[in-house]
Amino acid sequence: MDNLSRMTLNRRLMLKGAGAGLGLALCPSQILAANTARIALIMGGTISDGGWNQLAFEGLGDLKAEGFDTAYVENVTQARIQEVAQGYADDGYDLLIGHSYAFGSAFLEIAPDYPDQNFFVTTFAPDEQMLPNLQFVDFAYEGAAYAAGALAALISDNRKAVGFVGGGDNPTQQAMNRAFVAGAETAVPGIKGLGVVTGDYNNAAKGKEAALTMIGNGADVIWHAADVTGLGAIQGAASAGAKVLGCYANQTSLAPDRMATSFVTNLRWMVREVSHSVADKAFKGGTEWRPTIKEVWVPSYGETEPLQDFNPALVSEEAKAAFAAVVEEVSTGQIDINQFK
Amino acid sequence: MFNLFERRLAPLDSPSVVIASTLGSIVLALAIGAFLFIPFGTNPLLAYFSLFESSLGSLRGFGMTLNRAAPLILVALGTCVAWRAGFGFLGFEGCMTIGAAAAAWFALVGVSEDGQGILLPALLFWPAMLAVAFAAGGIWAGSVGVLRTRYGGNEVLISLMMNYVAIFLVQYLVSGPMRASGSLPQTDRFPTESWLATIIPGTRAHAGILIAVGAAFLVWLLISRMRVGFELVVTGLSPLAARYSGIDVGRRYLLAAVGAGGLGALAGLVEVLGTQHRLMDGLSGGLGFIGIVVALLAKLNPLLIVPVALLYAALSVGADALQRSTGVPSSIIFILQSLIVLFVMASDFIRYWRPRLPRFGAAIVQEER
Repeated sequence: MDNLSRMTLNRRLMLKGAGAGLGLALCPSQILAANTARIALIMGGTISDGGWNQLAFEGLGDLKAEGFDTAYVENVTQARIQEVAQGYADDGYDLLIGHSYAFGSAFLEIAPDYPDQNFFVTTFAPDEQMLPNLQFVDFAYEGAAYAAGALAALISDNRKAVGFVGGGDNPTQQAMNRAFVAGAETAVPGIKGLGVVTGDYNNAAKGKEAALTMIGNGADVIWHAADVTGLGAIQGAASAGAKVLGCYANQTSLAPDRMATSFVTNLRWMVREVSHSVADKAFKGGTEWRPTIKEVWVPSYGETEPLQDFNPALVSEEAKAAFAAVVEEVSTGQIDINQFK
Repeated sequence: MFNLFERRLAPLDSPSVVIASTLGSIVLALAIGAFLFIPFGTNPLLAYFSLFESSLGSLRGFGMTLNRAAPLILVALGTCVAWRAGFGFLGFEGCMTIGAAAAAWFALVGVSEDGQGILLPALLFWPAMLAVAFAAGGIWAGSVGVLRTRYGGNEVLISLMMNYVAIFLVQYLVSGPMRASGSLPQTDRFPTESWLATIIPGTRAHAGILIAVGAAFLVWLLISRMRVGFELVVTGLSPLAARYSGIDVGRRYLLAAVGAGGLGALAGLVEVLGTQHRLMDGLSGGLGFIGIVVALLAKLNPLLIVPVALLYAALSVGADALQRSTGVPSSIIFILQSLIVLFVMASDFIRYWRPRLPRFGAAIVQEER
């Protein structure tokens, strides 16, 4: 332990020296505005995935416009997370945002080495331990998946089956799969909830294959939570004539006629919120932030402003009302979402 | 058309020419690569300066460069052993993965009851660890050697395809039998005693570089000072001549395969025990192929491999730092690395050919005709 702290000290001292030298050499006139911070966004996918990563990146763009010093890196594989995150932490960033479940365990391991810097992972808190400089967020994924399952079942025409295409094989996606199935089967008794967790966020071909398999098994509504894999699922499902639901971003343009709605996550808002909390020295490390499902998930449809909430051609007024009731049940806690975790 | 080049009577192969042509091609590649920075409003000279400053200019960066170089050196040495013997092995991604899996297994199987320490004393643990990983990779690649020598299979194709088998095997292991409960597809973290020790205080440099440099020395010893190594090289230069002079060509191929596989597996060991400290998918990350490039740049010379790998590692560490500090996409550095490889490979051309200045008189006569 003694060794470790000495090591950190050395590293930081050296960094200060190197940083000061580099600062003098490269940007003598850079002055940071008040109440800003240095934010690094580390992503497992690309910023042009039309969803999960793109939305967070837009939040980072807002911060940059506000005068924050921002940096980002894309396509960080699981095996490289630690190295990349240490790189940013060594460079002295005030907040490192690890933008997926995979960053949780790596950040838990490295955050103690950087007690003066903050870490945020866009996933739920682990059971084992919390650190004073590491915050998690409960995105109410299971609640959203439950509601999406209900909506899918409500707009199903053949009332036989509806399907979910998942991304990386991790507990969040598995729980979303379970919640989706339960939501569908509760909303419309007799309907079958199907789900495939493909194990990959970035493989459109896999997503298409998963969607088509479930359509072959009777599904006529497909939802996904799988970034690029999900893009394939939407395209495959729409071309096979099924209805589709988008996720993370407004994905209407992918299949305007077959898209019922997109469950848009307010990641842009979240990145801004957490970064401002760091800038204002109000970062709530050691906790799990719990916004409500209505705050984080916004059903959106349409390619031009003003956006609608649903595609009127595919979602009837009754389905809308029944869906709203389910959302209400989830946010008031009448349905225990934790059972799917 | 003129013949702009003519073949030299003897290739220029004095060390000074080789060094000059290599350095010249690196500078040329950097000069061309400079244009890539312009759209991003970054001064290329400053970018290059910060590239090398961040990877070689500070102790911390140097430590990361050493870490990045260690697996590259080992894979390059494996390439050297296999290719010098004429065994066209391309399966280093697979060997790394298998070696990492074996090292992970050995690190986790020897954990004491309380889950903290390791059972074996360190003096026994490390030789055993190296032997286990080397053997795993040796058997993995050796099977390609057997298929080649026994049944005449094509080692290039088989070794390439076996990469996928290894990668899927490890995907299965980390999402099935070796998965840590309730977490990502990865194993538990190894006990700290099984991590490669830090060799430069205040940096992340771990003992992997020592393993790599030691291996480089041994491979050099094997190839240029031992009879077996001589037989390997003769086999590579001409299998028929080797057989005629009484060398058991099949056995030498097999030896080359086992050696290459074992060295590749050590690269996996270095990655998993030095950097990740747990087994997970995607661990080789292309190093198994970059290592081959390094070996080619070093002209399959085991001692040259070390500096070339260091240069390559410095470029990639610097690329990461540059990406962080300026936001320039790291793919630029990838392009830059590719340019360097292409130019260095192509620089051999001027050692074998010389420019032939056109004689204008003759040319005009030709055109009038």
